[in-house]
Amino acid sequence: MLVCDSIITEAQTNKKTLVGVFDTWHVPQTPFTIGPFWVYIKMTDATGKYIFRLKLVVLDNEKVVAEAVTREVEIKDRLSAFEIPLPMPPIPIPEFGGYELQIYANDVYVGRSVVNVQRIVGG
Amino acid sequence: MTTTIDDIQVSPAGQQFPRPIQEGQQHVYLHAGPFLFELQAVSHTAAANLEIQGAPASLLLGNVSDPRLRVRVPIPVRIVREGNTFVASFDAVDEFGYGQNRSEALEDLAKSIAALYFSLAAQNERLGEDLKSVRSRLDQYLERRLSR
Repeated sequence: MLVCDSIITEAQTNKKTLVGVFDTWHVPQTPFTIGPFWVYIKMTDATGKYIFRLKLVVLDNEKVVAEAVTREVEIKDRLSAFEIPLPMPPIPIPEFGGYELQIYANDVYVGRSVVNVQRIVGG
Repeated sequence: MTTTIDDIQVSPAGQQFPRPIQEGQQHVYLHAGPFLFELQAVSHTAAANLEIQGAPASLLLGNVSDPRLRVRVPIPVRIVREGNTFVASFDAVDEFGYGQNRSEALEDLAKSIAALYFSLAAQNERLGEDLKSVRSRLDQYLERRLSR
């Protein structure tokens, strides 16, 4: 799972180009609204019907800041990879520190990506 | 309030820039792929309630972060906090993981489970009855991953 500024999808080939991959937001104060941004998720080894849930949580105490849930999706080929490019709108962030994007498939935890929110230093 | 798909501006590059979500507000997006996401901002009040209630003490683990292994059945994990350390445990095989937060503890546990699986597999012929039982329980949850 990667966080980036934008994802460009080539129309004919469906290839994805991730632009501006990052793991830290630099903000002047909190609370602060971050984004918009994109989350790119690529998974394999799934078969059947799934509801995916993406949570943005505060790392230290698991406070949920935002949550996204898909409708049910059917994946047929376990050996193929599938991609989820997800555009995220601006989200209000309550405090500085570590955050985590957690991905669940049918409420089963399958992975995470850590992102940090730091104060802008200097002028 | 729900934003319908028609309300969202889509750029020629396919990017979507909805207005910022506010507490309790829901948006619905349609992607180029087959996934339709409904996004909700959790209010700070709701977040405070979560803190009072505490994060879930158990969850189901679907990934042991070892490319050689596949989780067949989600692994039930208990998570407790002991001082500044989080402890994740898989009681069926008596394995533990430790970390400074829940996710670190989960990752440590996942590595321990994978290491145990391969350790028992390597010594399969010499296992006593207790360890054969542990191996059997692990086999209910894990299997070697297929490859093309």
